[in-house]
Amino acid sequence: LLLSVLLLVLGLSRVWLQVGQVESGYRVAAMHEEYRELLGVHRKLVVEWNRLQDPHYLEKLARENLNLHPPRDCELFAGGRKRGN
Amino acid sequence: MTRAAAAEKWNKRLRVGSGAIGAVLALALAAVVVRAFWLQVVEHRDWKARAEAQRRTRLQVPAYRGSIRDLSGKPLAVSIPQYSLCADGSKIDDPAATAKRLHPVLGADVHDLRDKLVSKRRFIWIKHYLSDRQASALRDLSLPGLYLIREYRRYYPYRQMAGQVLGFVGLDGKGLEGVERAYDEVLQQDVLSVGVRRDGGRKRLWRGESLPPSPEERSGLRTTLDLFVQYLSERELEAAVREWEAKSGQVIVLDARTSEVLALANWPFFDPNRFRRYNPAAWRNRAVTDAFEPGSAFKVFLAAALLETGTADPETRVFCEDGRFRYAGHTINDVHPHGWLTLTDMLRYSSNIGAAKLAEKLGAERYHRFIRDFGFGEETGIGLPGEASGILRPWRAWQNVDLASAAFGQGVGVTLVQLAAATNCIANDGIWRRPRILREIDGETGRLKAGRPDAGERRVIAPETARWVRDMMMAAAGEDGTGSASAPEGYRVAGKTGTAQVADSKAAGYAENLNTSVFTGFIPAENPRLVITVVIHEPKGRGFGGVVAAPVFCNIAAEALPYLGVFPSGGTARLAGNRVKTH
Repeated sequence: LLLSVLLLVLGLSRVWLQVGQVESGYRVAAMHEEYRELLGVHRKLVVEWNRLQDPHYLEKLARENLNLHPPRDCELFAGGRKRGN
Repeated sequence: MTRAAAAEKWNKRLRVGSGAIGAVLALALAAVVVRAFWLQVVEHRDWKARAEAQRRTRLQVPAYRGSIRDLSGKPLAVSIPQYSLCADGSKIDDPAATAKRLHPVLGADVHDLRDKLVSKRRFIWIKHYLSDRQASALRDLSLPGLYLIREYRRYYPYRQMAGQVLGFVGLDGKGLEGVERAYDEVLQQDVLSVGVRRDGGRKRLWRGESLPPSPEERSGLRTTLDLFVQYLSERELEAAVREWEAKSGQVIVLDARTSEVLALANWPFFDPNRFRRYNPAAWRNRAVTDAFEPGSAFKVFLAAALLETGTADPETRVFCEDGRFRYAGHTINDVHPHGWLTLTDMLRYSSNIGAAKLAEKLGAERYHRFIRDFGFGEETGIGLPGEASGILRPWRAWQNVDLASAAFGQGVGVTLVQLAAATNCIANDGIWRRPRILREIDGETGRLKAGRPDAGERRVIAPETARWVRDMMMAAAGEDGTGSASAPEGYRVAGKTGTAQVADSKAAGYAENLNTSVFTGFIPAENPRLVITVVIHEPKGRGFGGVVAAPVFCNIAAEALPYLGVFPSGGTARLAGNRVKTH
């Protein structure tokens, strides 16, 4: 009787482990797919980050949106010497 | 009938019935066993293959096209995944209704969409490269017969920056222009197909086998371009071209120590992200593909040949005919009339007459040989597609006047890269080095080693000759030289201006009032760090190289040198954007 119970428990455990393995298999596959998607997103963000650092773009933003310009010689408080021409 | 007889009869029937049932069951069991044997043994391979096909599928793992980066590793060209929309026409029952639902997402015309969808073809492209938002909206719609498939798109995050140098790729992912084309074999994308497990519902499942590889990138390239120097070059070039309402312009900046191309700018600019919106002429990297007449900037190489052969020394005097000289049936003019000039002053004041007379002393054969040695008339091997060799006829085909005109840079065609490389030869004490655009290939496989530009170098003139020429170029870029506008405060420049007439393709000869303005030089003159060559095509007004091109040199050098750690002597570095105006 004891052997039968033991075999039954072992059998049920095996089934339980198999079911768990299948469930984990689905999760792993889904996470791997998500990882692939996120790698793609990361590449897109790298592009976007560099696009935002484009010096031409930053200069245009500074001039047109913030009304900034490089300081003229007369606007420098220290160090600069005026050019001859 | 007695009870015993009835029981006997019943038992007999029972036995017969049991036997029959047993026989049927035995037959059924035998059939099952035979069928099982048939399936498991005889047709084992077929059924195994079918089972495998049901629970295995192929996963496409991309190997992205390799990135192109600048000297410091900033990405200049990157491939990213992007969804595209396609349809199976046989599964779309109501094309008009589907088109109406697609219209707000794609923004495309409803009639155009319907026209595409009415086709019963099994595969119809609807739109390439959807935005993430569009792809998400389409997933939510889940319209029958429409599918999203993953494609890989090339992006150039810095837009127009070095557009003609980088080039672009076509829809099939093949490099079509620029670096993309030149190194397509190294960069090309690929797709790795691997087997993965799935269930009956086509859902992917992992059962202990090794995970499929992650998407990764093919070998990328690191170019020699420096993004900041490229930006400076483009900014200053555009400012000059707009200021002078010129037709076009190019700038190249070389690292004088290595002959690496730090910047290569072409105006009008070109954004490879939208290459179809441009005229194909705008795709061309004219700094490499087009030749122009360099004008007086070419006198530098005449001076080098004169000194190297001992035909003249820096103090050799030549009479410049007070600005007007009849030679071989043609009249040669100087912008400013001069009498006697030394060789140094001939270069300083850029006398055409002095150059023509000295070239005659040197002779066509020797002059031609030196021109060739400086790299003119042949490709430099910079490693970009479509490089021109320039225009240099054999010296035997020269007429008398051709030697004179070649002395002051007319009648010969050079590319911007050739002119910069030749100038760098003076900066490097007479050693010509091949200009390079490629720094390294990631994970070098050796496949392209044979095709890659090597560090080819050769001695053209003696170090002493080069130093004499450098001193003369310093005089030409000095206070009373034609290139005085080239020197930023706190630095000394060795350079030479050039103003060439432009050949008229319709009429034989040169066009009136059209010039090419040139300045080529290196800085700091005493210990060269940068070689910068500027050419502005057809500026309006006073189109002299010293007025139009030299300030571009000055403005680029003034900001690039402090950025590279070369600071002005006794002055402060120029702040970004404070440029020299020439008007």
